[in-house]
Amino acid sequence: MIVLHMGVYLGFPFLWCEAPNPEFVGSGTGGGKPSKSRKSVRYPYDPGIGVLAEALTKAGTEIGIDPHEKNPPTALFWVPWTKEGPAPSSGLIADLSGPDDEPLLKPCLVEVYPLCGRETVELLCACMGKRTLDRGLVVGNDVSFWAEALRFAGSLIARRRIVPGLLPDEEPARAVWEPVMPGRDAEQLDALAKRMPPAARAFTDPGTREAPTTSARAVLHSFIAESVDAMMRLAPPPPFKTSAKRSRRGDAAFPSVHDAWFDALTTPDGAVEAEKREVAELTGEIKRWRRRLETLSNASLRLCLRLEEPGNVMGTGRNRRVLKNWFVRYLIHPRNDPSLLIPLEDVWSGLKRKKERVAALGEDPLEFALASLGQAAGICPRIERSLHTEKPSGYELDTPGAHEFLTDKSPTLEQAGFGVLVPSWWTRSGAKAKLSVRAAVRTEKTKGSGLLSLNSIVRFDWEAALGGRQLTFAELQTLAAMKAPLVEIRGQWVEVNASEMAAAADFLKSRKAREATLLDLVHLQLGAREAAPGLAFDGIRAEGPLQGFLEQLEGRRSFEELPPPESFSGTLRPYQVRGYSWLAFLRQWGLGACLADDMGLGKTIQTLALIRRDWEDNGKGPVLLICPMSVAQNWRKEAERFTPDLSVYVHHGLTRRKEEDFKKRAARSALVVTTYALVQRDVRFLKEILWDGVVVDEAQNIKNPETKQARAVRSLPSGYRIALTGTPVENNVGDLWSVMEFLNPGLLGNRAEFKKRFFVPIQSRNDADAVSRLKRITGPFILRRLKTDRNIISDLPEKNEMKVYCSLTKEQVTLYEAVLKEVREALEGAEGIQRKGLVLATLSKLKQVCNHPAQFLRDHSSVPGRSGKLERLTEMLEEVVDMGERSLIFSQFAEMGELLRQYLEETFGMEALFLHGGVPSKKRERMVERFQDPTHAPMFFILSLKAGGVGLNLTNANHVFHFDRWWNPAVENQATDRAFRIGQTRNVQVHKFICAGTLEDKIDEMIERKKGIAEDVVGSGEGWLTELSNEELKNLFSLNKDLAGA
Amino acid sequence: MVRRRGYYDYYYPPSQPREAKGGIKAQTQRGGFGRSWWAKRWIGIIESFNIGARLNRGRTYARKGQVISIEIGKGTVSAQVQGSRARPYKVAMRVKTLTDAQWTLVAQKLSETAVFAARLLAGEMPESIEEVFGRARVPLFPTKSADIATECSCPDWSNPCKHIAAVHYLLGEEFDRDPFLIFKLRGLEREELIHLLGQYLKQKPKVKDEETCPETEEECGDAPEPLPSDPIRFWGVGPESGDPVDFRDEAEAPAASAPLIRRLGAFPFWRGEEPFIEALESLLKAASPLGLGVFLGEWRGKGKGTSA
Repeated sequence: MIVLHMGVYLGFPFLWCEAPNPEFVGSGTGGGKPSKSRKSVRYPYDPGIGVLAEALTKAGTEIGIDPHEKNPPTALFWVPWTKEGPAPSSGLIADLSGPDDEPLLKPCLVEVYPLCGRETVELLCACMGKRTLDRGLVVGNDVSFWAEALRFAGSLIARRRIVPGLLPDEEPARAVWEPVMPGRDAEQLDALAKRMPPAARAFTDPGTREAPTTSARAVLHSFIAESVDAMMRLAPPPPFKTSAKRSRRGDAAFPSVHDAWFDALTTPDGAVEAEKREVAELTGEIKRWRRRLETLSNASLRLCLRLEEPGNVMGTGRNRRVLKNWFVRYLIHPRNDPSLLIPLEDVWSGLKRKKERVAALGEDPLEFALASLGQAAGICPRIERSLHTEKPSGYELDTPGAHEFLTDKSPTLEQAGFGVLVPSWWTRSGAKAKLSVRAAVRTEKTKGSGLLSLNSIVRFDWEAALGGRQLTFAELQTLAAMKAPLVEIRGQWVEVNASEMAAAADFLKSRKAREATLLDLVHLQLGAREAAPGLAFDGIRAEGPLQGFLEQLEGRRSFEELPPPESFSGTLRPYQVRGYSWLAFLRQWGLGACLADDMGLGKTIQTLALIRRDWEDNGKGPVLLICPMSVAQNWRKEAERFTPDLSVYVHHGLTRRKEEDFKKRAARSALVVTTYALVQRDVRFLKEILWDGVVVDEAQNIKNPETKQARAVRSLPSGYRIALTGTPVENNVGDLWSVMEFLNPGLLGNRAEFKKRFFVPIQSRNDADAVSRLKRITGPFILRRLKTDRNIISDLPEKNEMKVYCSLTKEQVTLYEAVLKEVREALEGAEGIQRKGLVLATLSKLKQVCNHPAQFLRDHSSVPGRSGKLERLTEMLEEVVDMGERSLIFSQFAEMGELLRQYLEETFGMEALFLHGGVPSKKRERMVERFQDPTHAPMFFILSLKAGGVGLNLTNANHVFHFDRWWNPAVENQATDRAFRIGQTRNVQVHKFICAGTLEDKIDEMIERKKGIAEDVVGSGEGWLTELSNEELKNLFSLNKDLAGA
Repeated sequence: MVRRRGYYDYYYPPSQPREAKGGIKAQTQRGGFGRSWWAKRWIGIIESFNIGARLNRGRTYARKGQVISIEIGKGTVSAQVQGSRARPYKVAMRVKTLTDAQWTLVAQKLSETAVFAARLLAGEMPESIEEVFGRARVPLFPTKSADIATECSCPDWSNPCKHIAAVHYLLGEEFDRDPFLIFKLRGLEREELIHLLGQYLKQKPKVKDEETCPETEEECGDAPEPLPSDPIRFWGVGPESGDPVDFRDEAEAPAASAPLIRRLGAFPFWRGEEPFIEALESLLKAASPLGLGVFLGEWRGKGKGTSA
């Protein structure tokens, strides 16, 4: 376990790392108050840079650390110490349950690796959005922070907010690129600086006696400056004529210092070869060149221009008058407080009652205002004209002028760094009353034509509307002839664009009546297709069933809630009825649906209800369900439970049916469950079946549209399509296309179109318009409910218990059978105590095999990829962690607990607490305290059932996992109640893990059957199992390989 | 000033000047010099002297970079121009400076409306400023030959000669960038003028001395920030502490050119071989995709660029 760290000192980033140190025992070694001796101690959790080199190489990064470096550079790291020693970054490194004494900053040495520009950029890009770089290589908080900062630096380059400069005092002088961050960028720099972990700037040179105090903002600024410079040098420079000429001639010297400087802007080290005198001159020249920049970008104030509608009041007292015209008012506000807007008028007036507010602007608001206005005057001649008075405070505009200000001047002024405020009707998208066209469906053609389907042909006319009101052709022509760009209609200002009006008139004239399929209309309505080039589209006007359908699709009209299907042996909660009815609605129209409810809300049961209903209604064809191997058994189990009369076939394993054999089996089934891997392998015959439906579970498996897996899934013919996912696809624009292309092909256009229309605008500038368009198109096909939604909470039980069926890996099956073989023989001759012991031992062994081969073998072998349960647990915890929720994980085996702790920490890069019988009570208290901390608690708490079963209050978790089972409901419930008790404000989800087809599965069934029987029959332990007959035991232990799923 | 029309030019073929390395290259490679009205006004002075082909040659000198250096002082200009001889010629100009009383009068008139202070503070020359000088009966630009004296160490007995003309043109270009140089030639530095104007503005804004204003922001206002000794605060941020900063605004490259560079304009007396603004813009443009790639988290290095 290594935690990767990055510090920045004097602008230069360097790597270092932390690892657990079993030899370091807190108190004693170097603890206590900061030492008086001059020699600094080594940070005990620094394993050295060589260890880091190895881990980074393994993770596939190219960082040029020499692992055999004898004397790597070191830095002084100023870290909080207590009596026990330094406080490590997290519980991943060492136990945090230290003493409560006041920590003091103390310097210690760490080995560091100074990064070059390329390495910084590459490494931070690789770390973006990741908790680990590799198993056991954790990305530290500080690294994540610098990655965020680097993204900011990247945006400065993308927006070209940089200028060349010179560092004249270095030897030799260095040409550099420097960021320019006025206005909003400065605010963002401040906001970012507040998020810097102090540990990221806690460094000095070895030998320094004082802790560093450079502010976070200054350190961040220096880092951004360095990164911008580094990135500029990484980009391939454009081919300059002169540099080519020079290299051809083999010239070494530059004709002038300007050439040397300009050339150095693209060289790796930026060194400017020039004499001292030349450098000094150049420095002055650069400064003069950049003077304009410095006057405004350093200012703490900002000039703001506000466009006010006619009817506003101007002046006070005797000078008061109501303006007939539009007015642009000058205002100033402090950069850090845009809400404190002060009209320039008030600054000029010097009135007493205004003084206080004006004072907030600092010393020289006027000089600033004048300089700003002087700049703005260069952009807008009307501003220039307004300055020809003694005390300018704004200027009046007629309507065309106001329109020009809105369309032309305001974006330019904004880009130049001025604030611009315009009336809300202009900016509010959608409310901006604009000319639009809409399609009016001819009702006589659709009415009475019987059943509508997506392929029905619909006739419609185009019509024009302004601000929602239909315009006649004549009105349109009148408006087209008008000169005024803004017209007040019914108290609402409307933009009237003569050429747009004319275009609309042309459009209407050329397209009298049209025909299209209903699917085309759906695409049109949702905005997936452009209706008329250059004209806004205002939707479809329809009547009757078509109108009803469109309104239901867009969620403007609720749809009928269906009764649960016949012979469905589960009870749907109210929100599940809604979800199931929604699925049925889309299915009825042949449209694909993505059900993205939170984990634990019952996506499975809603889907099974739909499958059951559809099976009855639509000729009993088979449905193909595709899911990861880890949940295949769960589907079978749930289907058996809720839809017992549907025949389920799980298509998996080496001996699976193929070709004709498969087709026959599929034809007899209602539900065929298979895995993503097999769809890809068997796609040839899978796609020869016309599936009634195709359902993909954990749909994130097809998020990458180029993979063979995703292509194979998309190629399957089917009547309807459903995607299930617990991760919110709609939040990840990049992943959305692939899932939608599976569900509703063509809806989002091809991939390149999608990228251009949505992905780039949304990812790069959070384009609100693109976001809302995308939402409008995809919204009708995605249903996502959160556990925390008010109308869901009321439907949910406070404690929601679920069984999670897992499969065994091949290795687990082999081990399981080996144990069985051994016990079968031994059981024959055993009696009494000996028999009892044998049964319990076997029980224990089999449970261990189900948990993990490494637990059974006790050989410290590798952990990943060997246990179905662990696989499933990891997937589920990913979702829980993404939701920011905490989990309790119970196992009755202390070894399994330790194995889980290490595995989870290495996989997630997050601390996992582990409480077992050997933890002293004081430490135990401290663990509980830490877990109950509202903000800094670890995400996972592993408990051995015996040690953690009673007494503790762990309400910070709302997920409880029983990794293995204690075949006694009372004991399990006691454990569950650690989270489900007074103080718990959320619904608690309890996940009980069971390996399908194994003894776990069978004992569970026995307990379910015996539920009616008093608890004392079952007793307090598992002893009752020893009372079973040999025959019963053999049956209990036996493995149903078909179910176990290897 | 001696004006001999033409015949020298006809009878003595012009000597070829020696190539000057690293001279100041006019950024106006084509057409007339001077974009702003004040620069054009300055150029108009030299062009009013009837010196024939010397003007053309002066322009060519300015474009080719024959002027090696220019220094501007209060009322003085001294420059070195590479001609046909090994040693560069020395050009000197003296412009008549205005008296303190004249400046005070001008400043008074200038502060009658806000536009002059505003545009000057923004680094621009207000168009009607000459009118104001006129009302104060003080000429902004030198008018009489007595107002401006020029001198060159070359053997040409015409004054102005082509060397003087070249310097004059380059000065015009520099005035485009920094109109305050005209005031400097008339004896007043930028800071002095602003200070003077400030005295007549009602609220008397103080003018900070630009030379002492700290250059970078971190020196300006960042107080020391000691490290916290509480381990949780020291190590830091989790997803809990504060919202991530959303700087997704406008990460896309501006459409046409780098507005920042355009706003800063030409470099003072640029002597580089590449045209300054164009070359700078092409560098910024070339790097822009990399910036966007890093910003989107898509950049993977090793010259592959973005994987987008």
